[in-house]
Amino acid sequence: MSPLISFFTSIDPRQKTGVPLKVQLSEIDRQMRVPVIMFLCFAVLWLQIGTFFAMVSSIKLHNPEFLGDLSWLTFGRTRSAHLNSVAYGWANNAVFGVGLWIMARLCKVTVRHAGILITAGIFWNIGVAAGVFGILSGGMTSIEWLEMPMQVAPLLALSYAMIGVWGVIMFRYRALGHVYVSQWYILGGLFWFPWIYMIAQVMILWVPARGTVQAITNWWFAHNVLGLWYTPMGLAAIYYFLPKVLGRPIHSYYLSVLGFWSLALFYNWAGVHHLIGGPIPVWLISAGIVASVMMVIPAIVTAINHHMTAVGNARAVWCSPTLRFIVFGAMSYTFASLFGSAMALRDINVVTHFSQFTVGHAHHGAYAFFTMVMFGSVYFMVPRLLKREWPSAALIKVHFWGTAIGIGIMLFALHIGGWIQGEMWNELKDGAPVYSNLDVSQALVKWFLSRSFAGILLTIGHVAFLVNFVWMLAGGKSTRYKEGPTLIGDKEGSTL
Amino acid sequence: MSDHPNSDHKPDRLPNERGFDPHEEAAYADDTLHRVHQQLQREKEEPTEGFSPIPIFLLFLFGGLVFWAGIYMANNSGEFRPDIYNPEWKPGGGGNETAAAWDPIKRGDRLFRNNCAACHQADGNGVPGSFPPLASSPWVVGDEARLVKILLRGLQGPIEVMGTTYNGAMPSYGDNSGGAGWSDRDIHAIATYIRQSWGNGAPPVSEETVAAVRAEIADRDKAWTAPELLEMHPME
Repeated sequence: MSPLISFFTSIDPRQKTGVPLKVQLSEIDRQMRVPVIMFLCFAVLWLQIGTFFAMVSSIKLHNPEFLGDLSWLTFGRTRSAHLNSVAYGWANNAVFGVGLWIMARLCKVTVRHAGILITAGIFWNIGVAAGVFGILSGGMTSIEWLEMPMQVAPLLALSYAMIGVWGVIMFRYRALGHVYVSQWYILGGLFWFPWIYMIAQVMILWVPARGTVQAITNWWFAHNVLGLWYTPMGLAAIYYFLPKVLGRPIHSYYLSVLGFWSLALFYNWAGVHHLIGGPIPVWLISAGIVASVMMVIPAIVTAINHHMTAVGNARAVWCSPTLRFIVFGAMSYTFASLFGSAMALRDINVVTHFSQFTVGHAHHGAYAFFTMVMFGSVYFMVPRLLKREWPSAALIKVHFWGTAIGIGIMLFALHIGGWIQGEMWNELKDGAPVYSNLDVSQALVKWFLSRSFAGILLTIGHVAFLVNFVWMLAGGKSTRYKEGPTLIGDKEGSTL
Repeated sequence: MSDHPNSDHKPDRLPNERGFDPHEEAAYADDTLHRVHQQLQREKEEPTEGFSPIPIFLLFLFGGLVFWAGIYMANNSGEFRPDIYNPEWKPGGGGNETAAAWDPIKRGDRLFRNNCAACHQADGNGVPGSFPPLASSPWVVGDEARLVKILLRGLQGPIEVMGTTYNGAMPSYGDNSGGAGWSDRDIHAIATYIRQSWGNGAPPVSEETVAAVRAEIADRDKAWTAPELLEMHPME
């Protein structure tokens, strides 16, 4: 056999047949341990870095002189450093870890050449670090969501290819039988993300398209990173952990199908609503608005499916660290989607566009939904990967309440403050604006302060998470099994 | 291990109690064994899906959404044209092009060919004996108020033009009874056109002049006669 063929034979990751399911899962966990734990470590690290830049940016909005003398930490750079470190650092590493692990478990297969996956993961993070460094040192591009200097893009794309391909290989060699809804979402996301990333890089930075096509591509990409990458991965995690922890099936296969295909069909169009009022053909914007409103369908379908699965198990949800975060995220997904659909309407967009309302909405989706779901997933996965229990239930509670209350205050402040901001901008008298820019900024100060306060709560939660995570890695309380899984409520028979 | 008949075995069972198994007792004391199996023990089945039908109200909701989407696209799509940028644009609105620069000669040419050329002829020379010429005619290149009055009320009876007398009827393009009701702008266009065509070199007639004349003769309804006009505006 030639070396090439023997390599392709060697990636066949199927388990030996005839082994009981739980033993198979245990074996998969063992084999996925190193790459998944590595991705989670990177993710937790980037989360702290992203939080630092977020706090600096937030404080600068009400105290502009804060760190104002350091060119590396001016607002324009810290804001973009925040976005890129949480998007490409925290969120993508979390997706790689959680998504590949769920895919492995559902396909009943594992990664044969974990060394390639680990190497690619390290290079991905080198790429992100170089990109964030490039932003801080003043080399950022002016393209939102693609601020990293364009030179890191090939590294990121290549690393991604070597990471994502393992999910596809696992699906290729999946155990025969029913393909579960989480697998659809993960497989879809694994193809959608490289497509949108490379098209956006090429059409905006490498071989720039002419004129407004760049702007259209930019918002098509920026919206789809959330919609066709983080959202399917977040939903895949909810669809996996909700029935898994509760030990009952997902309510309806038909709703799962409808939710998946309506998301795949409509989300791709929706990004253009960011260009309402812009100089592009009006039919494109109207199509974007219609697609955004049609996103009500997957939002409602998914909400019903999740609710009907979890209903009647409130106590179990409350006691399981996994489910407390996951259900918080699932509910946020519904509200964020419905808000998003409303914001695409021209009459509402005329107020919310360019205001803090949009910033609030971005955190509604990326944090209250996606990030909370990823937190919940990590709480489920790590005990199984490391065969240890979480050292501290108190720290999990601090994490949950810090992030839940923090993001709640933040969303309230940004949505209300953003609405006021938009209304003040739009207020005209005899065709001239009533409020000067200074008036608007002053009116926003109290909302910006609220956001910084919320940011402190989020930081407390993240640090609690970090401490618990490192403590667990270091092996603290590794014999806790005698007390059972770490729960955050007392319920007989609950599981993590 | 769960299918072992003694899997509910507790370690605090005494050796003489029912269900005691010395092998399991030894296993329970082994910490490693527990650590390996604890996740396995509490692991639930892999998730599956139920097959509840889709609630019927969802179908109505989605039907409504699709209907709304169709209406919205019909009203806001700009007919999918690449040159429509304005959301206020309605079908038939003719695109977003800015109003073309106003050219009275261009407009006047069109008006002349459609309304005047049948009698006065395309070359402005009229028909000898029937319709008077416009080219070089003092009635055209002379006093502008006199010309505008003819356009706004028409002319009845004999008129002498460049030594020849014509007896016919010129219809009205003003707003009297039987008039064609042209706007100031169109009267300004046609008057300017005939004053500057076929070698005529008279200055243009402004819209304001037309409006002023129109106001001045608002009380009169019937067509002019040549002597009447010559009394008001003697031939130069």
